[in-house]
Amino acid sequence: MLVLAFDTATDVATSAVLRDGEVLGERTSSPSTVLEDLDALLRGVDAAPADVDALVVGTGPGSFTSTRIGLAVARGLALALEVPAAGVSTLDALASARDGAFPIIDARRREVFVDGPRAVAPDDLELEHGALCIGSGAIRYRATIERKGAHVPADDDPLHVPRAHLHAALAHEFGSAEEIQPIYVRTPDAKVMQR
Amino acid sequence: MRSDPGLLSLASASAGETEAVAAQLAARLEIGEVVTVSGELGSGKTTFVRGACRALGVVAPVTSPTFTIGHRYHGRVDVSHLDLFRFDAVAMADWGDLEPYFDDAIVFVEWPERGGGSLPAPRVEVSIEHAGQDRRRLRLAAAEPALLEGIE
Repeated sequence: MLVLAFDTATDVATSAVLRDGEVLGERTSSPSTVLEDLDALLRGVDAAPADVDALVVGTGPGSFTSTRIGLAVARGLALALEVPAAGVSTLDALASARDGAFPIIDARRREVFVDGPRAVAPDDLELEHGALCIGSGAIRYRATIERKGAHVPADDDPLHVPRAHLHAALAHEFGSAEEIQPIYVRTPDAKVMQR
Repeated sequence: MRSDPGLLSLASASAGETEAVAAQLAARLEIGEVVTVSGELGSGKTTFVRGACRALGVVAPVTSPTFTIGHRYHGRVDVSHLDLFRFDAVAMADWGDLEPYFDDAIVFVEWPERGGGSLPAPRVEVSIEHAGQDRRRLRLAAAEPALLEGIE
């Protein structure tokens, strides 16, 4: 089974191609080039789009637009290739890189996205002493997090960056891409009015 | 001065005085915070935002973004200046365009009423009323009264 996995929810887009669970290729880029990345990954394994059996897409939390870029790509490809898709939380994928890791994604506006999922001020984070904190939010608010007794790996540690092969490993329920919803925990979304 | 905590009412005799009040407020704001600025056409909303921008180190011209919806200025911090006059409400697709202005910036929103209650909660709400000729009545409301203490 050939699987394409990708996540555009954070500033760093990740994409991977896997066959029967084996990682054949993985790329890190920006959300705007995710389709080019997927195309290059397929070419790299001498596969055509028609060979793809399933899609896995990261669902955030992230910015309103970046989470929807991934979802739009997934829906478009699922429709064109007639394949099922699965959604995986970006936080879950980050956390799966290391047992016990606590993922923290930069949510801008002096907030971070954490398990819940929810957006909280870095000062309000409740962290266990010695907890391993990873992700863009952990890097940005390193000082605050370390003051709380938790640990943040070096800024260039790969643990901080989402990896699409981890999304693929977590995907279990495949279905219609239309059913996958972005995770957007900011209040404005809940209050946004219909025109 | 008013006794009502969290509400400050000031008279401004000129655009310069309005800018000076805005400058004092701006100095107390942090990245990620939102200030709404309400008032009729010509009341001086953009003047207020200009005063705040200057205090935050913005040297670029500060003009009303009525037709462009939003400007983002780079001063000592980034400052976003939104004008929702042309909106009836903020639909889902609109929010995708607006959200980046709220990221990593101090944000001033003119015509917040048109946002239909869909904006991030403001730290301060400013309203400006005509009070004859160049005079204006400025009202600043904040959930935390301490934020407005000493502004004159």
